Amino acid sequence: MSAILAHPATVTPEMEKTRRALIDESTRLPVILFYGSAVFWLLIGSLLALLASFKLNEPTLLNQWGWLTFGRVRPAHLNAVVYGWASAAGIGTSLWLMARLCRTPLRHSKLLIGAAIFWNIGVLLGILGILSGDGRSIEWLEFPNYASFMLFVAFGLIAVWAILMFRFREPGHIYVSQWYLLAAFLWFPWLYSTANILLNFQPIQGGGQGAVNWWYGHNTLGLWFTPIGLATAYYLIPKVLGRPIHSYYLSILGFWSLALFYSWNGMHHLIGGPFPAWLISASVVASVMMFIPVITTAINHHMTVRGNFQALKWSPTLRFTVFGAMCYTLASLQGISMAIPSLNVVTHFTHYTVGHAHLGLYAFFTMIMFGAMYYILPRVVGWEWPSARLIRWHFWLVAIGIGMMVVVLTLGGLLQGLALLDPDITFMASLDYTKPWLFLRSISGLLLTAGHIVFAVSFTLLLLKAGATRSEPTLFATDQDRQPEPLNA
Amino acid sequence: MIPDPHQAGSDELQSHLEGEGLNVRDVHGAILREKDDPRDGYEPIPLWLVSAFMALVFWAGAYLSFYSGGFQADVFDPVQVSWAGGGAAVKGPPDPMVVGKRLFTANCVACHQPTGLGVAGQFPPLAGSEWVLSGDWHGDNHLIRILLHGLQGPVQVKGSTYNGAMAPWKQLKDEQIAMILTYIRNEWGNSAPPITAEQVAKVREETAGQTEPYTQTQLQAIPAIKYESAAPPAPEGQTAPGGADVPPPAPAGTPLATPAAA
Repeated sequence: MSAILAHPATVTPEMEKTRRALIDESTRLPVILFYGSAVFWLLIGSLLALLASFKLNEPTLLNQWGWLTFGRVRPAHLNAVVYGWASAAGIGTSLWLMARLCRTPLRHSKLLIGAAIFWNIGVLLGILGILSGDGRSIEWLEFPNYASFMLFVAFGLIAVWAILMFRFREPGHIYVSQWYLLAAFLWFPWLYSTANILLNFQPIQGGGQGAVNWWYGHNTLGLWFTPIGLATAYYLIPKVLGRPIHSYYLSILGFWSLALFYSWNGMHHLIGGPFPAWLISASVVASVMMFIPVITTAINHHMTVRGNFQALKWSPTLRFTVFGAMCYTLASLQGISMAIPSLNVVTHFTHYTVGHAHLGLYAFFTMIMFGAMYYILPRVVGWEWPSARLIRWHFWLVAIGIGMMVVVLTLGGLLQGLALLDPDITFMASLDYTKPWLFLRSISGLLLTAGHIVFAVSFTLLLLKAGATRSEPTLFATDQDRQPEPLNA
Repeated sequence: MIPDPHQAGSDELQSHLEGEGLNVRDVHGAILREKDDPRDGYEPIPLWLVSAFMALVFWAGAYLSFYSGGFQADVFDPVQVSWAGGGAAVKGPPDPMVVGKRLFTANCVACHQPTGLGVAGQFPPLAGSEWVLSGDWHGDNHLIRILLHGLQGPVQVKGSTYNGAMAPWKQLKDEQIAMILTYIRNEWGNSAPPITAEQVAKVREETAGQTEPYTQTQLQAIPAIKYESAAPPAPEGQTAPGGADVPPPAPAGTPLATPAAA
């Protein structure tokens, strides 16, 4: 009978739908585990972020406890959102996508459940470790060794699972999302283990530490979050619209140019630092060459949505995802400009960089993950989102929040950078320029946190299967008769 | 032991398709209404895009040839060694007035103030100071000694007495000290010949045994040397009689003025 399945022509739509239902059912526990932990860490990360941001407005706030000093709260925030929220959300999304793209029910789910347990213990130990003073002074790798080891075990289990899934997939064309996911699952454990060994377990000497640090820090975005985010966008945009992705050739060009150039980018964090000139210059060149994957992907996504932008009015999945995909282009172009030494002189060591980091990790990646959750969870749980109003509030709170945060940090950072360059302005005076902007940043943080709480409520209600049984999607607006064509999410 | 890759999933699906498990009518609405899985379109890559990317590749090669420092491991300044520009791109030495000002802002302004006027009664001025401009008994060698090893006890500057303590700055490099001194000698209306790194190195070597900040009395006992313009350190023969070879600790006869605590 497998012969029938090998010939798509003989697979009826009924069979296809049953297959999808089986696949989704098989992913239920791992996806909910990873998504649930992601939402939990998102809330924790948001609270830590608010505290860190308030401390920049009022430095004496809660500083009588060593646990809550800025030097610990800020890295705790970073690691909670990077490893607790973004990575776990990315893994949850990838598990479902892998199963769908391999066209086979998820197997070996014990590997994933084990990974989820190791993951959460690792993040918990890591955050507590940082707050209690065990953190490492290496940005993006502040987790103490006992926590990063746990994460590595989790990554290893997931990588093994991904290889097994791919090995036992149903034969057929391999869609672009699959390339990115498989690449991310192999790249990241390699990155994470190499950087941890070279920096924390068997530290290398001297300036090489800085180079490894930023090779890792930038590649976490480039070779882990970016491929997962793009894989998700490449899947969800054509899926919701029911249109083919614009061009297979652009997909290929985008994927391989990303693989070729992104991994060299990290050294542009070290412009002006004590590193051989060729190292920095090669990185500047590779950063500018990121135009190729970024423009390619932007054209591919834009041409796929073109003519259907009105669908953004109805579909939560599509609106979050397209918002994220557009911000991918923006964040990347901004990143390229920041790698140009004459501009880097101004933006380096300022809040401008912080704004850029949030544009990438939040406006791009996190928004796409929200989009993915809005699509995947009803299928996995077997229940529609209980409230369109909550989704609307979630979208506008986080969209306005992140927009405001990026704008104020960018402007404040530019002023700060220009003040730092002016020899007539002392360092302490240069900080005064940032104060009003940092206050506005705290406001934007409150908006984001409120959005996260709304989302967490919505998420919990969905898991509890609250509300009435429905079979139509929860859309932003209910006037479905005015839609160009029926939307499925 | 490895099952047929295509068999396992298919069997499971098959058993359901044969009606033992899920009936398609039971499938959740979200899955029923779903559109087809994404598929690829095959639009060609536009020519303008390929051309733009080729131009980028060309730019990349040019950038690397200008700013790669010849791909040498010990070249840190991207424009110092360039394949394209040869030696022409080599920069001149850094301007002491720029670097010196930066170092001064970072290290000295807290006491001596951006105006170079100090704080009345606490920190002596640098603007118009005979200590800085080598007036009277003050020599360039004294200035370097003070920056290297510090100064304590009462001092007379521009007719006023100050009684504070200046920290030693010997952790700074010779070039840095030279630039700071050159800067303070030519800012706020001051004008005096620059101090060179070689001069600082020489004094540093001579005073290697100095562990305490100087006092005005000790310095007065050391004959003044005034370096000529930007010339290298004065040749040995020109040093003042009995001069710079004197080891740094105060001459035995000089009564050690007990420094009053600042």
